[in-house]
Amino acid sequence: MNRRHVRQGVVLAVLVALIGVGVSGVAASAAQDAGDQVYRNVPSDRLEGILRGMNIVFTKVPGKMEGVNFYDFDRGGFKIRLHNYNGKDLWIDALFNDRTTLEKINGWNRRAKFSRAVLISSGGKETISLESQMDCLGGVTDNIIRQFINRFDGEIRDFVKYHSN
Amino acid sequence: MLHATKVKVLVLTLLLSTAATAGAQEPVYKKMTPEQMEGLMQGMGLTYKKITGMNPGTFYYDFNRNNKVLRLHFFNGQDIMLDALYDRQPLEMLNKWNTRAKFSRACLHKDNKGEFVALESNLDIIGGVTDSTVRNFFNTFYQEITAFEKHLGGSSTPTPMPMPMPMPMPMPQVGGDDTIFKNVPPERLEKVMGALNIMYKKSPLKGGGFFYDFDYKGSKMRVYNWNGNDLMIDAVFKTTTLDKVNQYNLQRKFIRTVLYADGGNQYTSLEANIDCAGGISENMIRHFIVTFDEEVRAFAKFLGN
Repeated sequence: MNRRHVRQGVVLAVLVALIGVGVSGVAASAAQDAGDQVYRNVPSDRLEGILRGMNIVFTKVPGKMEGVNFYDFDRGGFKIRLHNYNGKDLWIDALFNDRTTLEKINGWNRRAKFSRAVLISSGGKETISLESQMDCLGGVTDNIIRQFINRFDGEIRDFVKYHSN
Repeated sequence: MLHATKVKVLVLTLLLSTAATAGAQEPVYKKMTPEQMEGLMQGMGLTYKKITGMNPGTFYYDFNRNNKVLRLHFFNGQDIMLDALYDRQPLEMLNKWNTRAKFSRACLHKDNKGEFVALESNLDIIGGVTDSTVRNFFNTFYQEITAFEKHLGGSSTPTPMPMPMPMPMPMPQVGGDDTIFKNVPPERLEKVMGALNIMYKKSPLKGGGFFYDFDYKGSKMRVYNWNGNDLMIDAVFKTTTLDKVNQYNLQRKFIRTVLYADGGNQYTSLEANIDCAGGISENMIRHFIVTFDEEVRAFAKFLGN
């Protein structure tokens, strides 16, 4: 390879590096700006767009009351439900049928930060609801909603580990 | 030589397309519904008046910005247009604008009230747009308005349009800031508490961070700031039963009640947490503290205090 080819190669490498930095910088900036825009109501379209953007395949189930919608999906092998109450607040939960005690439930609530466990008794059957809610009226962003969903994955993993011990 | 050049072009193309793909995070629409458009406008904090056009699928959204009434024209989800109206101007002035402007045009229109100028900008949706594209379209038009009015010499004022009726929407917090940050340094939290006239006692947390004890509207509370990554707020009550805390957790949102028995000291804690990793603003922190006061009152009532 002669000197001319080497020089051309170096110039090309520098150009590629500069273009890569420039494009990723612009893309990152645009993505950060879009994801950090604050709003105080989460319309269904917006939430569904966020879920699709996270590659979450969901089944939308309208609630009994107008403006309430549920989104059922699988994540990490668990069945999750995301609730949207008129865009004003979100709720995410996973249900478990394991036998438990209120002491065990309280033990989780002592250590948890981003969720709570609640024992639901209905028709002689007990269900554990691991849940988290987010008040949107103070303001939310797309990134905050994504973090809310992603964070709950960790809560489920930790809860399963805690409850099985 | 020619072969080497072709390879270089191919590598460049592959790298650029990979970078572009990596940067693309939002879904792309080729047609928008009015609800999507309205959701975006609400997300931008715009309060609008919606008017149904004569043609099916056509809607107009009038909104105020900096004391100027703008109109978004929604054409069946396939394209949108923004405009702002001004008094009549000489055609030479409008043509001069049109020769230099990139993202708008100025046109002379006429209706039954006379002639007027419209500064207009259009966005074609059919080719594909994202939420960011639409937001950027709005922001660019605002810049076009500023430049156009400078071009007019500030001698023209927008043609008055009927003021839009405010839509019943949640009002933003008065004061404070919606700027998003991903970590809450102590000074930032202390600034929010100061704005709420909270007199606090600050103490260090084991493992890093601080906690703040204070009275807020007669309720004793504590806010914890764990190295700016997440916040917690709690209030302590007399002990109760596990059944009662579970019952309360079933009834309420945004909090949890927990029984503690530390060294013979039994008590109930009402708690709420906020994860800052996804982003947080001063307004959100303020809302977090203020709404917890309502939770404290509700729980006190539940316990029969």
